[in-house]
Amino acid sequence: MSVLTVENLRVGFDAEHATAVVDGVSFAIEPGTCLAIVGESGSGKSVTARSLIGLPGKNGWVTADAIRLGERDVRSLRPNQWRGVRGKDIGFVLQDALVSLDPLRPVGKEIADALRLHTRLSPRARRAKAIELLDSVGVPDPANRARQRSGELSGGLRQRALIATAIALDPPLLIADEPTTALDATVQAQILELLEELKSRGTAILLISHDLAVVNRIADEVAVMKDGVFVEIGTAHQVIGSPQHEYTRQLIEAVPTGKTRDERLSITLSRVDATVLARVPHADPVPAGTTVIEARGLAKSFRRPDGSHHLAVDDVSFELARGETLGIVGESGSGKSTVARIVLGLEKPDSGAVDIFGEPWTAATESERRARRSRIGVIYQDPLSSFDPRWTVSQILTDALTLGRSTRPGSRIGDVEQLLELVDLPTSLLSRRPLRLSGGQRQRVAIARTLAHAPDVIVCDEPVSALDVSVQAQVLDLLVDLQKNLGLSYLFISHDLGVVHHVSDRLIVMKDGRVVESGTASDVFSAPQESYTQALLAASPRFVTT
Amino acid sequence: MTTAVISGGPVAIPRARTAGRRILSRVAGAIFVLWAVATISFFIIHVIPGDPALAIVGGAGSNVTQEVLEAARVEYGLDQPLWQQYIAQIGRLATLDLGTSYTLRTPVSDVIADHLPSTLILTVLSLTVAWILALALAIWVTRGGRIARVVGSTLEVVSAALPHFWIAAILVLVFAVSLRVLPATTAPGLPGVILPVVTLAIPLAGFLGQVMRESMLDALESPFVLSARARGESEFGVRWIHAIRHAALPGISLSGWAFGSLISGAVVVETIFAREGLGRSLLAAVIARDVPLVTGVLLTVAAVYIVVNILAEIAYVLVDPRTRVSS
Amino acid sequence: MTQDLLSRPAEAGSPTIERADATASAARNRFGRLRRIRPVEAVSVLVLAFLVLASLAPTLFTAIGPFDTSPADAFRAPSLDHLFGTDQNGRDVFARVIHGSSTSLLIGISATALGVGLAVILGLIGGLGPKPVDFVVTRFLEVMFAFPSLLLGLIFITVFGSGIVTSTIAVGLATAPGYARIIRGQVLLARNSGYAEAAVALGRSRTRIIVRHVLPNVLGPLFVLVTLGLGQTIVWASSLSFLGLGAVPPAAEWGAMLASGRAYIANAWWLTVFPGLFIVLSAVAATALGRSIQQRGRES
Repeated sequence: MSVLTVENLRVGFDAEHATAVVDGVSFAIEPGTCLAIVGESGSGKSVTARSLIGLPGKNGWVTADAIRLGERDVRSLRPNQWRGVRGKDIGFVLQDALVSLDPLRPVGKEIADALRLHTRLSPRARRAKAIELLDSVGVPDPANRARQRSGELSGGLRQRALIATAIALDPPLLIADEPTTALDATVQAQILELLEELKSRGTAILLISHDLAVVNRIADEVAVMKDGVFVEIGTAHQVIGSPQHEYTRQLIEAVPTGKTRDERLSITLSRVDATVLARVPHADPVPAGTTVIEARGLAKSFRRPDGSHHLAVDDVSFELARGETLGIVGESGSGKSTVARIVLGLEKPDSGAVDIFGEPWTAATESERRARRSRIGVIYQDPLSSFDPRWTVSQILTDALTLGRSTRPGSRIGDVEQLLELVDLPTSLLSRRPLRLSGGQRQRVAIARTLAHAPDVIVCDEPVSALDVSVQAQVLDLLVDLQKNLGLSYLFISHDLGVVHHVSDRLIVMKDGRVVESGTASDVFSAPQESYTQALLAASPRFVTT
Repeated sequence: MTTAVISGGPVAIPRARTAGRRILSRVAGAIFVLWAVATISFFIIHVIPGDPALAIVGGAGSNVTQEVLEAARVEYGLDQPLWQQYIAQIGRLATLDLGTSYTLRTPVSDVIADHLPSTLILTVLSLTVAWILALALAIWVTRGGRIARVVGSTLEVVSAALPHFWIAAILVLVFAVSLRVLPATTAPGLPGVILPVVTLAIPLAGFLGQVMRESMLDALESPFVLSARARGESEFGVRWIHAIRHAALPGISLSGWAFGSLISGAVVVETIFAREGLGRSLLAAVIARDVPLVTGVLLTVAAVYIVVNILAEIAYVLVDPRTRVSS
Repeated sequence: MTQDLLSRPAEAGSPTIERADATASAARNRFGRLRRIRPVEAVSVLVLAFLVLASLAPTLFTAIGPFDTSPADAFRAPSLDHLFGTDQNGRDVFARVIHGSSTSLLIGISATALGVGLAVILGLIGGLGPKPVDFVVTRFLEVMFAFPSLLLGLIFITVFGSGIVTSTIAVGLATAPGYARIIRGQVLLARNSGYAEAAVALGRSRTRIIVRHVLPNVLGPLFVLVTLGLGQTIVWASSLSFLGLGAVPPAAEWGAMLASGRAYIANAWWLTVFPGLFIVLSAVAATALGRSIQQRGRES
């Protein structure tokens, strides 16, 4: 008998019950198996998950032909009955344990809470059981860890603790909503292993994710969700191996892992053509083969609040030649962002130097650098914070075009519109403020802004990490097109090995501030030499499509 | 099978070291502030137009002989060069000798010792009442529907803007004059302190309530509350085990400032209700330009304020031990 | 640590405002922002407008002068002839309250202007200046903060005596440190913001960044501070008058009227309630307006 049976689930938030955010979804989950619901933001997957525990959100209404937990119909449960079900028959795991566990309470107490609500154990017995549970999810030294708060634990340990709160009563069904986002690749792999283990013990898992590769790793069945409906559902092998629906194919094609730069990820046509390019500001082309950026022996340390020193960057050297892309891969704490900031001249290295176009860069004064800054562009992970919140898109681009002299378009309006066309954005966005744009639109405006001053090299600091897969594909394609046509050089920084491999010619792998491996992208990707790189590769969920 | 080691938490920063440093810097800061207050007060004497000796003896209007003035000058050390007087003053203050009041002719420290307890009782009680009212308001508003929200936020905004003397007037009118259940001016024991405390507490409760309500709402919509609900936690548990701690945090960090505003308010409230307290003494001293008493009271207030701020900080860290980056 | 924040993969999926916006932007027009005027704001603006009108043209509301005594009519309760009753000298309370609005509003506005003006200077110097300057400013503010606000004002009055002018300055000085701290905080936020750093990366000079980015983002929300401040200063100024340190009778200032009316509270409640009511009304209106604008700013 299925652990969970859902038939024609509909969820909405309007008073008239007319518009449904989840519009007729049906599925069933068997014990010891995992069903994954894959979708991008706005697809309704999280709402589905929450509706299954009776917490759709404010003003939410839920209707269904059937929602059965085992044999029990849960459609018309009263609040106090729901409280008996939540935690005991269904466990729920959210993403990012840092905010999904009460930051003011020790994690042991959070786990003990679940026991308090559903059992008659004494406080002492609850504490002991909590420690046991932490141990069972793989937390070392559980007795001490139970006394710590989520902020004191590392990302992986926190997530394990969060999972412990959800499985405290060994519920037959576990719903996990993006349980591995916000985690490093290596840690992600460990959490997925833990979920596998639970599965083998007989727990049914409903996994919500945007990440097809993660899904591929532990899901037995996959449902692809878009605009509130399942466009495709079947076994993981079927859906990912031979997708039937257009959207599923799009999603799979958008994943850059294993694809070379020549393979397009999205279906949008390239807008970068000769006529547009002719009118975009252009720097004097740099001769081919020139070294654009040269970094030698960079080192940088920071002072921690307690006075000790943290060596963020330790003897890092690399070179970037004209027209090529150098990728820097590393997990959080690897120092890659600090390297980016040093290259941009926003941080001064403690030792070592960076030369740009053969001239000293980090050794120069800020005013000397200022004169040359137009040759180096930057794209940030979070473009929103890099825009002045009071400025409209028009002001942002005009400011960039006039090198800061003015924000009123005036005679430059033509150039502004060309820029927008280059990044495939409609001119109707000119009067909008960045807050009113979607993530993909913001990133395109950021690209347009940096192109406006005709740079030769662009530092891309996690430019697509915050974007949906399909939007990410479009932006990556855009960046590749621009590079081909404008002869740009990229310093591409990311935690995602698949993305880096896709766009880079050469890449370096960083860990704890040092370069552990470097080489051509294809070499490192197909035959990594160092154990860390191998671990990264193994941990990055991939899949082979037919 | 990955070879990565399950790493532990962030480097265990020795808590004692950072705490020790912070306490040290606080104490240093406190001493600096007190010194600055003393210095400012000292120079006030010499900025006041007119002869300080005259003020001592009885004010500008009084008819005094040169000898009496001279005697006063010598007695108060006003004939010495400025820097000497300053050193002497700082020296006196360091030994907690606050001088003698011009108008009351008693040592300032005695005056303060007599009046400080009453004011402290008033402010501490008011802070407590304000907190209780604010919490109650925040909880009630987040529980109820639209009506509760509208009424609650109106109450908060309005009460935060009410001046003390008006509240006092209304309360006195209602409870003392019409209903005759409470005394219009202070009286020993509990009934006499109720009206002054409520007067002080209401505006503060409005302000604190706003702050706490906002952070309570934030907490109720946060992921960890969703996690708690997903575990089967009741609405009651969600509020009293999780949200309330988060709601209280900004209230705690504001408590230092709140105490200060209560002391300000005490000046007015003690006057209205004719309570013997530091506020009233300060007012009388200001009117009479009794500089030693004014500076003595100011120093005491500054010292108390600093202590309260430190206590508020400690309370905050007890509730929220997350190490924060200091601004 | 910032580097952790930069390299941690952020939550995938950004709000697809694209779809929703297509329809919403059609509905949202230039007047979108004013469309939802809350009753609170409307009432506050009306009240303040009424008060401003009363200060500028008191004769619109009453024919009686504020100083017209009429001993025979002393202590009359509110009636049609005397809307707010009369005081111990037979003066019409309504007339005094109306005429008093100019004094009280003027004091409030001047004190606010002084306080916010000082705060802007201090906050900008501290936030924009070099480290040593900021250090000095912060220490200075700390010392100011050692005094609960009203007491700062009292110090000033101790030195310079009481009266309308000194009490106005005193209130202004008392409110300055609080706002200075807020403004300094805003300046630091803007200086360390992502867009300021992006401007550096784009090659903008420091001056240009300050003028183009920091100042507008700091001074923009100033209006809220001013309105909130107005409510505060009105209350404090009248408190000082009430304590006898500001305006003195027979001035028709609300606080002073309250002070003199207090003695008769048992018999003539209208002497305290009505002037107090006007103080409350103006303070609440200003504060409510300020909070409402603040709320708008947060929601946009």
